[in-house]
Amino acid sequence: MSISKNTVTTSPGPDPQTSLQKERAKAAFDPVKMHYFLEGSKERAEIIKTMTQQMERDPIMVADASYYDLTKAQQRELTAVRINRIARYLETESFDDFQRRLSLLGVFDPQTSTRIGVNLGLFISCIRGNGTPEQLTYWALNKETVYIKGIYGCFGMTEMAHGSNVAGLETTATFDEETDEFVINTPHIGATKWWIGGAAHSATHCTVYARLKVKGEDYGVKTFVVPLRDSNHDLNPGVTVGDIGAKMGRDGIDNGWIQFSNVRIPRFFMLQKWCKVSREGEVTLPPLEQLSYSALLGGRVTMCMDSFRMCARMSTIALRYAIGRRQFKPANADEDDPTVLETQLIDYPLHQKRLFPYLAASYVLSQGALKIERTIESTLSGLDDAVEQDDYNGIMKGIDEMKSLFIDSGSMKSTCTWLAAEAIDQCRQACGGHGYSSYSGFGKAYNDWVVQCTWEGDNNVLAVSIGKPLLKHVIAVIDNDKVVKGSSAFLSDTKQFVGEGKGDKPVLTTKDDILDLKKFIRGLEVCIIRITHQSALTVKAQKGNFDFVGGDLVIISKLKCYHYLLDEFVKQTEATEHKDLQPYLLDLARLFAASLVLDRFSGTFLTYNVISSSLVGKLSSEIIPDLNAAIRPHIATLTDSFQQSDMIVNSAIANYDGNIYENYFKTVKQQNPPSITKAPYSGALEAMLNRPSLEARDRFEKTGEAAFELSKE
Amino acid sequence: MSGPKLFTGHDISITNTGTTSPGPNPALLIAEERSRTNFNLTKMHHFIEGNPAKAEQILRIYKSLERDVILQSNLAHYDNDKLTDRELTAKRIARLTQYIEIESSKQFFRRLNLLNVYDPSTGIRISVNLGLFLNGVRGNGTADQYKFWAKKMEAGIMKQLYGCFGMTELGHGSNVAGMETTATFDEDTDEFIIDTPHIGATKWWIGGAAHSATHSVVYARLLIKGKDYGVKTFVVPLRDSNHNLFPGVSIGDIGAKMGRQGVDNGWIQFSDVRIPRYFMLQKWCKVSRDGTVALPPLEQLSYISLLEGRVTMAVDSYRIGARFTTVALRYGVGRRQFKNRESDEYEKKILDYTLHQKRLLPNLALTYAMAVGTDRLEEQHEKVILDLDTALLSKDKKKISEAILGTKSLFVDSGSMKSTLTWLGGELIDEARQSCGGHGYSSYNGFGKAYNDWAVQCTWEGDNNVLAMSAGRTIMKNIEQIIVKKKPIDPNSTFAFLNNANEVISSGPIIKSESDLKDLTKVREAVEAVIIRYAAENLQVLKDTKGNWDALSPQRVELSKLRAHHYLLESFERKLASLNKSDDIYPHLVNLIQLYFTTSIFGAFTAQFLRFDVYESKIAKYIGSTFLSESLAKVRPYVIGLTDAFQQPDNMLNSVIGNYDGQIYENYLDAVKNINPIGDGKPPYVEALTNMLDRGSIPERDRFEKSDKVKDILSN
Repeated sequence: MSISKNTVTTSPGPDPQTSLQKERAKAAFDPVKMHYFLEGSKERAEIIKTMTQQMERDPIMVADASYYDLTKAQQRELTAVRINRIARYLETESFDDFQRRLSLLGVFDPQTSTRIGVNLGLFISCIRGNGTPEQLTYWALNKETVYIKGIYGCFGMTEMAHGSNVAGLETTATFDEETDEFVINTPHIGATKWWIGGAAHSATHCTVYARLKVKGEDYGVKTFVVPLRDSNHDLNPGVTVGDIGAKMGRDGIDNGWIQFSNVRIPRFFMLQKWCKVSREGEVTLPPLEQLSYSALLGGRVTMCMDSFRMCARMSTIALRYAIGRRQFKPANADEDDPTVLETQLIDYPLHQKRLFPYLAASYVLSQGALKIERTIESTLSGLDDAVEQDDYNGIMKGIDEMKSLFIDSGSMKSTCTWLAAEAIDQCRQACGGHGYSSYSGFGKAYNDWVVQCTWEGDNNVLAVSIGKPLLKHVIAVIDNDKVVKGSSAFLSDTKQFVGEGKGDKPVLTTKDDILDLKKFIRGLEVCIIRITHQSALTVKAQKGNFDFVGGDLVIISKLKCYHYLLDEFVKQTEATEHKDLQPYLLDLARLFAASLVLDRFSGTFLTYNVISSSLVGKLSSEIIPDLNAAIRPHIATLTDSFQQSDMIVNSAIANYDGNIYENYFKTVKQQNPPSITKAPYSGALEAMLNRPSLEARDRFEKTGEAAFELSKE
Repeated sequence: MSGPKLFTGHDISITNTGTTSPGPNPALLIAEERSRTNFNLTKMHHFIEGNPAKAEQILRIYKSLERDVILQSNLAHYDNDKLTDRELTAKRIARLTQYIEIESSKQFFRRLNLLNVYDPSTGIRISVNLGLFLNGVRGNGTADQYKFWAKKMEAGIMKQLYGCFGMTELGHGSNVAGMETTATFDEDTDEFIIDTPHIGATKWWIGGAAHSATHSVVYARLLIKGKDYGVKTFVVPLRDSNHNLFPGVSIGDIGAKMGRQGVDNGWIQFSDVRIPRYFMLQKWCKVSRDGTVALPPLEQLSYISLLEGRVTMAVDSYRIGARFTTVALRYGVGRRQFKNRESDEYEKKILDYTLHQKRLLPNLALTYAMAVGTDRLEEQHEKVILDLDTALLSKDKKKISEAILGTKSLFVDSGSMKSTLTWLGGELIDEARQSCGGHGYSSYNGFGKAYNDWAVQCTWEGDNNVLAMSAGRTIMKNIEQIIVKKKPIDPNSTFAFLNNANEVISSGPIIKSESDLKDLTKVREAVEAVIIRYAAENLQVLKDTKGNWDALSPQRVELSKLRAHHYLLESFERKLASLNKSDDIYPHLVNLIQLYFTTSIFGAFTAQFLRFDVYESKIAKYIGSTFLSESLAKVRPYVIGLTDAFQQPDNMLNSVIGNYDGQIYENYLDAVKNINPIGDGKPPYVEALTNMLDRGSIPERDRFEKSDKVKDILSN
C-alpha cells in the first residue's frame, strides 16, 4: 500500500508533528504572557521579539544549519562580516538596546557577540573603570570605538603563566623620565599575553595590564592603552602578535598572543583615574583603587543572562524532540496492534527526571538574571554619582553594595554557567544519537559555552572567594553577634541552628516543607548556615587555612546562588500581574528546589541533619515524580513561552512545526549533497580494498620456492 | 633517590631565547616531584595492566605507533577540517591493513584499542568493519557464512570488502525490535527484497556507509507470505567492485557531528533492493526455499556479538582517564598561581590547593580502579565467549546452561560497567580540562577533541540510561529471587554476592567506627548493603505501584552505578590480595583505593549510605572531612610517579601542556607558533575589518540625504 505525498512511502511513517501540535493546542495559559514574565515586562519582551525578527530577516545576521559546517577560517571571516553588519545597528540604537541585541545574538552566535564584547565590553569597560572621564571620552567617543569604528580594542590581561592571579602578572611598564614614556615589555615567555580575544586579527589597540615600575620601584599592576597596529592595520614595531590557533569552541574569535619588546607609549596612555604618574615620576595611589575591578562585573552579569537563554534554548530542543520522538510500545501493549503507538519519550519518568529540572532552571534563572542586571545598573550609577559629588557616605554605601554584588554576581556567574553547561550536555544526551549531530545544535553550543566556566573569573576560584566572606560573617555572628545585611542576612540567625541540641534538628521533615517554598527556602538557609559554620570551625582548627575547606566553599557558593534565585523567583511570582500563571510558575520553582537543590545536595542536607532521611526517600519515589507529572501537560507551552524562533534555536530536530524527521533529513541532504557519491579521497580507499595479496606485495620472496632457493647449502 | 637541584638564581642570560627576567620553570617542578617516586614504575605498570606480558606488549605497541609516520599523532591534526580528518583516517586504515595481515588478532585489537586513545575516529571506523560487521556475521551467521565473508572475501583483513553495520534507523535507536526496514521473501525468485518503507526507517548514523562500505549487515523485518517474523539480519551489498553504488541503494553523508569527524557516518535508503536468499544470516533463524521459517530457541544469543563493544568501551574509559589525569596532574604540578604570603619567593603550585586536589586526585584513584576492573571484565568476556563456543560445539546441555549463566552475568556486568564508566570518563575529561583553566580550552591540549569524540560513547551501542535501567532491573529481580522467592543465586553468577541479602537487609550500620574504613572488606560489604537495601526498598515501591517499572527508572540507574563501583572495588580487593604487602607499590595502591571509595563511592552516594543506615551522619562528616583530607595527603606527593606509571608516551597524550619533559610553556608556544605561522600578521579577510573600521560617517553613507539642507528642500 504505497502513498504518494511529498514523497512515496510504502507505509505510514512517524508523525512527530501531530504529537507536538496536539499538545500545543491544549495550552492552559498564554505563552506570550508567560514571555512577558520571563523577560521582566511586556515592553522588554516586545523589543526582544522585534530584534529577533530583524536578525532573522537580515541576510548577514541570520543563522541556519550551514553554520555548523563552517571551517575555522570561514567562521573567522563570517564573524568579521557580522560585526561589520551589526555595527550599523549600533550606530543608531541606544546602548541598552544594543546590549539586548548582543545578548540575543549570544544565544545563536556567541562567538560574534564575544568578539564584539572584548571591544565594547572589556576594552571600553577597562578604560571606564581605570581611566579619567576625559580619557574615556577620547578613546571611546572621539576615536569612535563605541561604534566599532576607527579603532578596535582588545583586553590584554591574561598571560601565559598567570590567569586568576591578576596581581601577579609580569608584563612590565617602566617609566622613562627622559622621554616621558612608558616602556612596555614582556620579560620572558611566561609573561606573554595569552588568549587575548581580537588580538590575532582585529585589534588596533589593547588595554595592557602591566607592572608599573618607576625608578626601580614596583607599584603593582596598572593599565595602559597600547597601540598594536597602525592605521594600515600593520603591526607596530616591537609588537609580536600571533594566532592562538585551534580551540575547543568559538573558532570565530581571533584569540591571539602578544609579546612586547620594549614598546614605547606616551605617559598619558596610562589609564589614570586612580593611580597617577607625574612628569617627574611621582606616583599617587588613591585608596579606592579596588573599585577599578568593577569593570569586570559587567561580564559576570551578562553571563547570568546568557545562562538563562542557553538553558531555555536547550530545553526547547530536547523537550520538543521528546514530545515528537517515540520509542518502545508500553509493556502491556499488543506488539502486533498497529493502532498502539510507541510511547513518547517525554512520558517516561526517567526522561522527565532528566529534562524537566533544566526547564525549571530556565524559568528560575530568568528572574535572578534580571535582578542582578538591575542591581549592577543601580550600584554602578549610584557609585558614579557619589564619586562625582565627592559624597563620602554615598561612596561608602556604594562600596558596601559593591561588596554584596561581588558575592552575588560571583556565586551566580559560577553556578549558573556550570548549570547551563550541564543542561546542554544532558539535553544532548536526552536526544540520543541525534543529539550528536551538529545540526541539532548541542555540540557547538557546548563547545562554545564551556569557556564561560573559566574566563572572567574561573568558576572554582570565584566560588571559593564567595565562600570566604560568608564564613567570616558566620564567625562574626557567633563571636560578636554581628547583624549581616543584604542577600546574606539570614546568616544572622546562625546561633539558632548550630551547636549542642540545635545543630542536629531537622528542619525539612514533611512533604509540605518542600512544596511550601518559603519553608523550603528556610531549610536551605539552615543548610547554608550549618555547612558554613562547620567550615568556619574547621578553618579555626586549621589555624585560618581557608584552602583546607575549598570543596565546602564551592558547595556553599552554589547553595547561596540557589537561595538568591529561589528567593527572587518566589517574589516575582507573587508580584506578577498575570495571576493565572502563578500555579505553573510555582510548580517549576518547586521542581527546581526538589531536584537541582535538594536531590542533588541530599548528601549535604542529610549530613547536616537539615532533612529527615525518610523525606529524602520520598523525594525520588514521590515528590519529584509528582511535580513532573504536574508539569508534564504544559511542556509544549512552557517551551513556546521562551519565544525563541527557529533561527534562534537553530536545531534541525526542534523546529516549531515539530516535523523532526523531515526537517532533519532535509538539512542533512542540503549540507551534504548525496549526488556526490564518492569521497574526494575515494582513491585511497579503493586502492586499499583492491590491493594485491601480501605475497604479491612481498614480491613472492617468502614463498616455498624462495625458501628452497635461499636455503640451499 | 636524589632529584635534580632546583634553580633558584636570578641571573639572566640568553638561553634558547632572550629573557629579561627569569620565567617560570615547570620542568624542574615536575622533575623534582618525579624524583620522589619511591616505588618500581614497571611493577606498578604491570599491576595496572594486569600482568607483565600484557604490559610489555602494550609498550611495544606504543613504540611501534609513535614511530610509524602515518599512525603517529601530530598536534597539527587538531586543526584538521572534516575532509582532512576523513582522508587522514582512510590513510591510517590503509596503513593498519599492513599490520593486520601479519600480526595476531589479539595483538591487532590491542593496537586498535591503544590507537583509540588519541585517534578514536580511526579506531571506530575500523571497528564498525572488524567489530560490528564481522561480529554481526559471526553472531548471526553460520560458521560457513562467516568463513565466506570474513576469510574468502577477506573482510577480516579489510580487503575487497568493507563492512558496515546497518542497525539504527532515523526513527528507531534503542528499540531494535521496532526497526522498520523490511526484508520480504520473494518465493518466485528465491530472493529477499530489502526496502525502506518511509523516512523513519532510513538507516541512520551508519559508520562507514557514506564513503567506505561495500557491504552492510542490515537489520530488517523478515516478511514472508504476509507474516512479520520480527527483525533479522541480512548482508546487503552497497557498492560494486568499482566502488559505485548499486541501483536502489541511496546513500548520503550524515554531515557534521559533535566529534569523530574522521568517521564517514552515512544514511542509507533501500528501494526494493534484491539479494539472494542465502545472504540472510541464518545461524538461528532459517528460511527454506519454500518460505518455511525455523526459529530456534537460542536466538537471544545473537546479541552476544554486541558485548565486545561494551567491554572495549569500559577499557577505553580507563585509558582516557589515564591520559587526562596524566596531563592535568603534570600541569597541576608545573603551574603556580598566587603566593601564600607576600613574602614567599614563589607562588604556590596549583596542585597544592586542597580544592585542586579534590578535583583531580579522586580521578587518578578512579583511573586505577578502572584499570584493574576493566582488565577483569576483559578476561571475563574472553572466558564467556570461549565457554559458550565450546559448550555449543559439545552440545552438552549442562555445559550450555552453565555457559548461558556466564553470558547473563556478562550482559549485566558489561551493561553497568559500560554505562557507568563512559559517563565517568566524560566527566573526568571535562573536570581535567577545567582544572587546566584557559589552557584546557586550547585544542592543542587535547581535551576538547577528546571530549567531543568521547561523548558519543554514552549513547551508542546501548544508550547509557537504557543499559543502566536494564542492569538495575536485573539487580532488583535477583534480590526478589533471594528475599521473596527464597531462592539463592547460582554461586557461579557474578551476582552471588547478593545471597546474604536476607541478613544484610536489616543488620544495621556496617561501618560502625572510623577504623572500619581501613578494612577494605568492610567497605565492600557496605556497598553491598546499600545495593541490597536500596533494591529491596524499590521492590516495595514496585509492589505499591502494581509493577510500574518505569516509575523506578531513576533508582534503577543509580543501582546500576553502585553495582559498577562494587565491581571495581571487588576487582581491586582481589588483585591487591595477590600482592605481597612488602611490595613497594602496595602502600600506594592501598592509598589509591582508599581515596577511590572515599570520593567516588561514599562521596558520590552519601545520601544513600545515610538513608539506608550503612553509617551515621557522624561518620559521613568524618569521611567528608578528616578521612578525605588524609586520603588526599597520602596520594598527593606521588602524583607524578603514579601518572608516569600509566606509561603513556607523549605520542599518546598528544597534549602540549602534558609532555613528559614538563616544559609546559615552551612546548605550548612553540606548537602554537608552528601551527599558526604569523606571516604578516593580517588575516586573509583583513579587508572586511579595515573597511569596517575606516568606513565613512553615517551622513556620508546616507548620501547627506538627512542633512538640514535637504530638509529645507524636501519640506518646501
